[in-house]
Amino acid sequence: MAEVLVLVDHVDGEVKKVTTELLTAARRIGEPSAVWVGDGAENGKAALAEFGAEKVYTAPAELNDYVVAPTAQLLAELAQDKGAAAILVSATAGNKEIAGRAAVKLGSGVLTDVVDVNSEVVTEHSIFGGATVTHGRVKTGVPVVAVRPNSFVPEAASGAGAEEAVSVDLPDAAKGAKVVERVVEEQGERPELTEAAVVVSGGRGVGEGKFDVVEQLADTLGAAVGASRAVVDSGWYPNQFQVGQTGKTVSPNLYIALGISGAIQHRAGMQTAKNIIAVNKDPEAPIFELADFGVVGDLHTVAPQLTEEINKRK
Amino acid sequence: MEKINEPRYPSFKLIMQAKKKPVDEKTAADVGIETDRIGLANATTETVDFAAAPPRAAGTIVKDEGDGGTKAADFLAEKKFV
Repeated sequence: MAEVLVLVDHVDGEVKKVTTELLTAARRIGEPSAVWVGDGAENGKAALAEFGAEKVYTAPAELNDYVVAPTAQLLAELAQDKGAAAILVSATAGNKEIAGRAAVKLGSGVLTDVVDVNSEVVTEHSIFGGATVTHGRVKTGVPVVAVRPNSFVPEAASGAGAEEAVSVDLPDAAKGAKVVERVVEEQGERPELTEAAVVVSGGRGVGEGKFDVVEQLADTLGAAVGASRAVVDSGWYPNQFQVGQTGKTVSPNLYIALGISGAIQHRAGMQTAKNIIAVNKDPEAPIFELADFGVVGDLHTVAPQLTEEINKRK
Repeated sequence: MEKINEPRYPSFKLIMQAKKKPVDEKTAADVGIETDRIGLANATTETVDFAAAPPRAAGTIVKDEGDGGTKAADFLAEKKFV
Protein backbone atom coordinates (compact mmCIF):
# COMPACT_ATOMS: atom_id res chain seq x y z
CA MET A 1 0.00 0.00 0.00
CA ALA A 2 1.29 3.44 -0.88
CA GLU A 3 2.40 5.85 1.77
CA VAL A 4 0.32 8.87 2.69
CA LEU A 5 2.36 11.73 4.09
CA VAL A 6 0.84 13.55 7.07
CA LEU A 7 2.45 16.79 8.18
CA VAL A 8 2.48 16.77 11.97
CA ASP A 9 1.28 19.82 13.92
CA HIS A 10 3.05 19.83 17.24
CA VAL A 11 3.92 22.16 20.07
CA ASP A 12 7.13 21.25 21.92
CA GLY A 13 6.82 17.53 21.27
CA GLU A 14 3.12 17.37 21.94
CA VAL A 15 1.08 16.21 18.94
CA LYS A 16 -2.02 18.27 18.24
CA LYS A 17 -5.39 16.53 18.02
CA VAL A 18 -5.85 17.52 14.38
CA THR A 19 -2.84 15.37 13.47
CA THR A 20 -4.52 12.30 14.93
CA GLU A 21 -7.55 13.18 12.79
CA LEU A 22 -5.33 13.38 9.71
CA LEU A 23 -3.72 10.02 10.49
CA THR A 24 -7.19 8.49 10.78
CA ALA A 25 -8.15 9.97 7.40
CA ALA A 26 -4.83 8.88 5.85
CA ARG A 27 -5.52 5.26 6.71
CA ARG A 28 -8.43 5.28 4.26
CA ILE A 29 -6.06 6.13 1.43
CA GLY A 30 -2.98 4.13 2.30
CA GLU A 31 -0.30 3.70 4.91
CA PRO A 32 0.17 6.84 7.04
CA SER A 33 3.68 8.25 7.35
CA ALA A 34 4.02 11.17 9.71
CA VAL A 35 6.36 13.99 8.76
CA TRP A 36 7.82 15.75 11.79
CA VAL A 37 9.64 19.02 11.28
CA GLY A 38 11.61 20.25 14.26
CA ASP A 39 12.67 18.91 17.62
CA GLY A 40 10.73 16.75 20.04
CA ALA A 41 9.89 13.81 17.74
CA GLU A 42 11.11 11.29 20.34
CA ASN A 43 8.38 12.52 22.70
CA GLY A 44 5.63 12.67 20.11
CA LYS A 45 6.42 9.47 18.24
CA ALA A 46 4.35 7.22 20.50
CA ALA A 47 1.23 9.33 20.01
CA LEU A 48 1.67 9.10 16.23
CA ALA A 49 2.14 5.32 16.29
CA GLU A 50 -0.98 5.02 18.41
CA PHE A 51 -3.00 6.47 15.53
CA GLY A 52 -1.49 4.26 12.87
CA ALA A 53 1.68 6.02 11.72
CA GLU A 54 3.85 3.27 10.21
CA LYS A 55 6.75 5.64 9.70
CA VAL A 56 7.80 8.90 11.27
CA TYR A 57 10.08 11.00 9.12
CA THR A 58 11.94 13.54 11.19
CA ALA A 59 13.44 16.64 9.66
CA PRO A 60 15.84 19.05 11.38
CA ALA A 61 14.53 22.10 13.22
CA GLU A 62 16.58 24.26 10.87
CA LEU A 63 13.69 24.03 8.38
CA ASN A 64 11.59 26.09 10.73
CA ASP A 65 14.09 28.94 10.57
CA TYR A 66 12.50 29.97 7.31
CA VAL A 67 8.87 30.65 6.45
CA VAL A 68 6.92 27.73 4.89
CA ALA A 69 9.14 27.12 1.81
CA PRO A 70 11.53 24.53 3.35
CA THR A 71 8.66 22.39 4.63
CA ALA A 72 7.02 22.54 1.21
CA GLN A 73 10.31 21.47 -0.38
CA LEU A 74 10.63 18.60 2.09
CA LEU A 75 7.09 17.32 1.50
CA ALA A 76 7.47 17.51 -2.28
CA GLU A 77 10.79 15.63 -2.25
CA LEU A 78 9.51 13.00 0.18
CA ALA A 79 6.38 12.49 -1.89
CA GLN A 80 8.52 11.85 -4.96
CA ASP A 81 11.07 9.60 -3.25
CA LYS A 82 8.49 7.48 -1.49
CA GLY A 83 5.89 7.42 -4.26
CA ALA A 84 3.29 8.81 -1.87
CA ALA A 85 -0.41 8.45 -2.70
CA ALA A 86 -1.31 11.80 -1.11
CA ILE A 87 -0.10 14.52 1.25
CA LEU A 88 -2.37 15.59 4.08
CA VAL A 89 -1.96 18.76 6.12
CA SER A 90 -4.27 20.58 8.50
CA ALA A 91 -6.00 23.57 6.95
CA THR A 92 -4.24 26.33 8.85
CA ALA A 93 -3.10 29.48 7.06
CA GLY A 94 0.55 28.43 7.09
CA ASN A 95 -0.12 24.84 6.10
CA LYS A 96 -2.32 25.88 3.20
CA GLU A 97 0.59 27.88 1.86
CA ILE A 98 2.84 24.87 2.31
CA ALA A 99 0.25 22.76 0.47
CA GLY A 100 0.18 25.19 -2.45
CA ARG A 101 3.93 25.33 -2.77
CA ALA A 102 4.32 21.56 -2.50
CA ALA A 103 1.70 21.03 -5.21
CA VAL A 104 3.47 23.42 -7.59
CA LYS A 105 6.73 21.55 -7.07
CA LEU A 106 4.99 18.25 -7.73
CA GLY A 107 2.97 19.56 -10.67
CA SER A 108 -0.18 18.40 -8.93
CA GLY A 109 -3.17 20.13 -7.37
CA VAL A 110 -4.38 21.26 -3.95
CA LEU A 111 -7.74 20.69 -2.30
CA THR A 112 -8.32 22.95 0.70
CA ASP A 113 -10.80 23.10 3.57
CA VAL A 114 -11.65 19.48 3.09
CA VAL A 115 -14.21 17.97 5.46
CA ASP A 116 -14.15 14.37 4.24
CA VAL A 117 -12.03 12.17 2.00
CA ASN A 118 -12.44 8.67 0.56
CA SER A 119 -9.95 6.00 -0.48
CA GLU A 120 -9.70 7.45 -4.00
CA VAL A 121 -8.79 10.88 -2.55
CA VAL A 122 -12.09 12.37 -3.68
CA THR A 123 -12.64 15.12 -1.16
CA GLU A 124 -15.75 16.70 0.28
CA HIS A 125 -15.95 20.45 0.79
CA SER A 126 -18.53 22.46 2.63
CA ILE A 127 -18.82 25.77 0.80
CA PHE A 128 -20.98 28.91 0.76
CA GLY A 129 -21.05 28.84 4.53
CA GLY A 130 -22.12 25.22 4.65
CA ALA A 131 -25.05 25.68 2.26
CA THR A 132 -23.52 23.58 -0.51
CA VAL A 133 -21.52 20.38 -0.50
CA THR A 134 -19.06 19.72 -3.31
CA HIS A 135 -16.73 16.88 -4.13
CA GLY A 136 -13.40 17.46 -5.75
CA ARG A 137 -10.34 15.58 -6.88
CA VAL A 138 -6.87 16.21 -8.17
CA LYS A 139 -6.52 15.16 -11.80
CA THR A 140 -2.78 14.80 -12.00
CA GLY A 141 0.08 13.98 -9.68
CA VAL A 142 0.12 13.52 -5.92
CA PRO A 143 -2.95 15.19 -4.39
CA VAL A 144 -2.21 17.69 -1.64
CA VAL A 145 -5.12 17.91 0.77
CA ALA A 146 -5.65 20.51 3.51
CA VAL A 147 -8.19 19.14 6.00
CA ARG A 148 -10.30 21.30 8.27
CA PRO A 149 -9.82 20.49 11.97
CA ASN A 150 -12.59 18.49 13.70
CA SER A 151 -13.68 16.89 10.43
CA PHE A 152 -12.69 13.38 11.43
CA VAL A 153 -13.12 11.47 14.65
CA PRO A 154 -9.65 10.19 15.57
CA GLU A 155 -9.58 6.40 15.79
CA ALA A 156 -6.65 4.62 17.37
CA ALA A 157 -4.86 1.92 15.37
CA SER A 158 -1.41 0.75 16.20
CA GLY A 159 1.32 1.55 13.72
CA ALA A 160 5.01 0.72 13.77
CA GLY A 161 6.06 4.34 14.15
CA ALA A 162 9.51 3.59 12.73
CA GLU A 163 11.61 6.71 12.89
CA GLU A 164 13.63 7.75 9.88
CA ALA A 165 15.68 10.93 9.77
CA VAL A 166 15.31 12.86 6.54
CA SER A 167 16.81 16.09 5.35
CA VAL A 168 16.51 18.33 2.38
CA ASP A 169 18.96 20.58 0.59
CA LEU A 170 17.46 24.00 0.65
CA PRO A 171 17.80 26.09 -2.47
CA ASP A 172 18.39 29.80 -1.84
CA ALA A 173 14.85 30.47 -2.99
CA ALA A 174 13.54 28.54 0.00
CA LYS A 175 15.53 30.75 2.34
CA GLY A 176 13.92 33.95 1.14
CA ALA A 177 11.95 34.68 4.29
CA LYS A 178 13.65 34.03 7.61
CA VAL A 179 11.89 33.69 10.95
CA VAL A 180 13.59 36.14 13.29
CA GLU A 181 11.48 35.80 16.40
CA ARG A 182 8.79 33.60 17.88
CA VAL A 183 6.41 34.90 20.52
CA VAL A 184 3.99 32.59 22.25
CA GLU A 185 0.55 34.08 22.24
CA GLU A 186 -0.98 34.38 25.70
CA GLN A 187 -4.18 32.43 25.46
CA GLY A 188 -4.65 31.03 28.91
CA GLU A 189 -6.09 27.63 29.65
CA ARG A 190 -8.73 27.47 26.96
CA PRO A 191 -8.33 25.41 23.78
CA GLU A 192 -7.65 27.02 20.42
CA LEU A 193 -10.90 28.21 18.82
CA THR A 194 -10.69 26.37 15.48
CA GLU A 195 -9.58 23.10 17.08
CA ALA A 196 -11.85 23.05 20.10
CA ALA A 197 -14.40 20.23 20.43
CA VAL A 198 -16.79 22.60 22.17
CA VAL A 199 -17.22 26.32 21.49
CA VAL A 200 -19.33 28.73 23.52
CA SER A 201 -19.97 32.03 21.72
CA GLY A 202 -21.53 35.26 22.84
CA GLY A 203 -23.28 37.88 20.75
CA ARG A 204 -24.75 41.32 21.13
CA GLY A 205 -27.29 39.99 23.63
CA VAL A 206 -24.54 39.36 26.17
CA GLY A 207 -23.98 43.05 26.77
CA GLU A 208 -20.89 45.09 27.40
CA GLY A 209 -18.57 43.86 30.11
CA LYS A 210 -20.69 40.78 30.83
CA PHE A 211 -18.70 38.24 28.91
CA ASP A 212 -17.83 36.34 32.08
CA VAL A 213 -21.22 34.58 31.75
CA VAL A 214 -19.94 33.13 28.45
CA GLU A 215 -16.49 32.36 29.83
CA GLN A 216 -17.87 30.56 32.88
CA LEU A 217 -20.01 28.25 30.77
CA ALA A 218 -17.07 27.66 28.42
CA ASP A 219 -14.77 26.75 31.29
CA THR A 220 -17.23 24.24 32.76
CA LEU A 221 -17.27 22.46 29.40
CA GLY A 222 -13.55 22.88 28.70
CA ALA A 223 -14.61 24.90 25.69
CA ALA A 224 -13.15 27.70 23.63
CA VAL A 225 -14.82 31.11 23.73
CA GLY A 226 -16.07 32.71 20.53
CA ALA A 227 -17.78 35.98 19.74
CA SER A 228 -19.97 37.42 17.02
CA ARG A 229 -18.93 40.30 14.86
CA ALA A 230 -21.18 42.72 16.73
CA VAL A 231 -19.28 41.95 19.90
CA VAL A 232 -15.84 42.28 18.35
CA ASP A 233 -16.74 45.50 16.54
CA SER A 234 -17.99 47.00 19.78
CA GLY A 235 -14.70 46.13 21.40
CA TRP A 236 -16.29 43.88 24.04
CA TYR A 237 -14.08 40.94 23.16
CA PRO A 238 -10.78 40.64 21.25
CA ASN A 239 -10.73 40.27 17.50
CA GLN A 240 -9.10 36.83 17.31
CA PHE A 241 -12.18 35.22 18.86
CA GLN A 242 -14.57 36.27 16.12
CA VAL A 243 -16.54 33.42 14.55
CA GLY A 244 -18.04 33.95 11.13
CA GLN A 245 -17.34 34.90 7.56
CA THR A 246 -14.76 37.55 8.41
CA GLY A 247 -13.54 35.67 11.46
CA LYS A 248 -12.79 32.04 12.09
CA THR A 249 -14.64 29.02 10.77
CA VAL A 250 -15.29 26.46 13.46
CA SER A 251 -16.69 22.96 13.20
CA PRO A 252 -16.89 21.70 16.77
CA ASN A 253 -18.92 18.81 18.16
CA LEU A 254 -20.93 21.27 20.18
CA TYR A 255 -21.55 24.96 19.56
CA ILE A 256 -23.44 27.04 22.10
CA ALA A 257 -24.64 30.42 20.84
CA LEU A 258 -25.61 32.88 23.57
CA GLY A 259 -27.40 36.04 22.52
CA ILE A 260 -26.48 35.55 18.87
CA SER A 261 -29.27 36.16 16.36
CA GLY A 262 -27.56 34.11 13.66
CA ALA A 263 -26.90 36.50 10.79
CA ILE A 264 -25.84 34.64 7.66
CA GLN A 265 -22.26 35.89 8.11
CA HIS A 266 -22.10 34.30 11.54
CA ARG A 267 -23.75 31.08 10.41
CA ALA A 268 -21.15 30.75 7.68
CA GLY A 269 -18.56 30.31 10.39
CA MET A 270 -20.30 27.73 12.52
CA GLN A 271 -23.07 25.85 10.78
CA THR A 272 -21.03 22.73 10.20
CA ALA A 273 -20.97 22.21 13.96
CA LYS A 274 -22.41 18.80 14.81
CA ASN A 275 -24.67 19.96 17.66
CA ILE A 276 -25.90 23.51 18.10
CA ILE A 277 -27.56 24.99 21.16
CA ALA A 278 -28.95 28.52 20.99
CA VAL A 279 -30.19 30.83 23.69
CA ASN A 280 -31.87 34.02 22.53
CA LYS A 281 -34.66 36.32 23.66
CA ASP A 282 -36.10 36.65 20.18
CA PRO A 283 -38.09 33.54 19.16
CA GLU A 284 -37.79 34.64 15.50
CA ALA A 285 -33.97 34.73 15.55
CA PRO A 286 -32.58 32.80 12.56
CA ILE A 287 -30.14 30.93 14.80
CA PHE A 288 -33.10 28.78 15.93
CA GLU A 289 -33.42 27.40 12.37
CA LEU A 290 -30.03 25.79 12.88
CA ALA A 291 -30.29 24.86 16.51
CA ASP A 292 -30.69 21.27 17.62
CA PHE A 293 -31.84 22.69 20.90
CA GLY A 294 -33.00 26.24 21.47
CA VAL A 295 -34.07 28.15 24.53
CA VAL A 296 -36.11 31.30 24.07
CA GLY A 297 -35.21 33.36 27.07
CA ASP A 298 -32.70 35.62 28.74
CA LEU A 299 -29.21 34.20 28.46
CA HIS A 300 -28.26 35.88 31.71
CA THR A 301 -30.57 33.51 33.57
CA VAL A 302 -30.33 30.47 31.27
CA ALA A 303 -26.54 30.32 30.89
CA PRO A 304 -25.69 30.49 34.62
CA GLN A 305 -28.34 27.86 35.32
CA LEU A 306 -26.84 25.65 32.61
CA THR A 307 -23.36 26.17 34.06
CA GLU A 308 -24.62 25.20 37.49
CA GLU A 309 -26.46 22.12 36.18
CA ILE A 310 -23.38 20.91 34.32
CA ASN A 311 -21.27 21.32 37.45
CA LYS A 312 -23.85 19.34 39.43
CA ARG A 313 -23.89 16.47 36.95
CA LYS A 314 -20.15 16.16 36.56
CA MET B 1 -10.84 45.00 6.57
CA GLU B 2 -12.99 47.95 5.58
CA LYS B 3 -11.26 50.05 8.19
CA ILE B 4 -7.92 49.97 6.41
CA ASN B 5 -8.25 53.13 4.35
CA GLU B 6 -10.46 55.46 2.40
CA PRO B 7 -10.76 54.48 -1.29
CA ARG B 8 -9.94 57.18 -3.83
CA TYR B 9 -13.01 57.31 -6.04
CA PRO B 10 -12.37 58.60 -9.58
CA SER B 11 -14.09 61.79 -10.66
CA PHE B 12 -16.26 61.89 -13.77
CA LYS B 13 -13.47 63.70 -15.59
CA LEU B 14 -10.99 60.94 -14.80
CA ILE B 15 -13.45 58.27 -15.92
CA MET B 16 -13.85 60.03 -19.28
CA GLN B 17 -10.08 60.37 -19.63
CA ALA B 18 -9.58 56.72 -18.85
CA LYS B 19 -11.89 55.78 -21.72
CA LYS B 20 -9.50 57.38 -24.19
CA LYS B 21 -6.49 55.39 -23.03
CA PRO B 22 -5.24 52.79 -25.50
CA VAL B 23 -5.97 49.18 -24.60
CA ASP B 24 -3.13 46.85 -25.45
CA GLU B 25 -4.40 43.30 -25.85
CA LYS B 26 -1.98 40.43 -25.49
CA THR B 27 -2.42 36.71 -25.73
CA ALA B 28 -1.14 34.34 -23.07
CA ALA B 29 1.69 33.30 -25.39
CA ASP B 30 2.73 36.97 -25.87
CA VAL B 31 3.46 37.34 -22.20
CA GLY B 32 5.28 34.03 -21.93
CA ILE B 33 2.65 31.89 -20.26
CA GLU B 34 2.80 28.24 -21.21
CA THR B 35 -0.60 27.75 -22.80
CA ASP B 36 -0.60 24.04 -22.09
CA ARG B 37 -0.74 24.83 -18.38
CA ILE B 38 -3.73 27.13 -18.31
CA GLY B 39 -7.43 26.85 -18.89
CA LEU B 40 -10.03 24.42 -17.66
CA ALA B 41 -8.63 21.48 -19.64
CA ASN B 42 -5.26 21.83 -17.92
CA ALA B 43 -6.51 22.50 -14.41
CA THR B 44 -4.98 20.14 -11.87
CA THR B 45 -8.15 19.88 -9.84
CA GLU B 46 -11.78 19.40 -10.74
CA THR B 47 -15.13 19.50 -9.05
CA VAL B 48 -16.74 16.08 -9.28
CA ASP B 49 -20.21 17.14 -8.19
CA PHE B 50 -22.05 19.63 -6.05
CA ALA B 51 -25.39 19.73 -4.31
CA ALA B 52 -27.24 21.77 -1.74
CA ALA B 53 -26.33 20.62 1.73
CA PRO B 54 -29.03 18.51 3.34
CA PRO B 55 -31.11 20.76 5.61
CA ARG B 56 -30.56 20.34 9.32
CA ALA B 57 -33.33 18.45 11.03
CA ALA B 58 -35.53 20.84 12.97
CA GLY B 59 -34.45 21.06 16.57
CA THR B 60 -36.37 21.36 19.79
CA ILE B 61 -37.12 24.93 20.79
CA VAL B 62 -38.35 25.57 24.33
CA LYS B 63 -39.43 28.76 26.04
CA ASP B 64 -37.55 29.57 29.22
CA GLU B 65 -39.89 29.25 32.17
CA GLY B 66 -37.23 29.34 34.81
CA ASP B 67 -35.90 25.94 33.79
CA GLY B 68 -34.31 26.69 30.39
CA GLY B 69 -30.80 26.00 31.66
CA THR B 70 -31.87 22.68 33.19
CA LYS B 71 -33.53 21.62 29.95
CA ALA B 72 -30.42 22.54 28.00
CA ALA B 73 -28.37 20.47 30.44
CA ASP B 74 -30.77 17.56 29.85
CA PHE B 75 -30.09 17.89 26.13
CA LEU B 76 -26.35 17.85 26.76
CA ALA B 77 -26.72 14.79 28.97
CA GLU B 78 -28.74 13.05 26.27
CA LYS B 79 -25.94 13.75 23.78
CA LYS B 80 -23.38 12.59 26.35
CA PHE B 81 -21.56 15.92 26.67
CA VAL B 82 -21.95 15.88 30.43
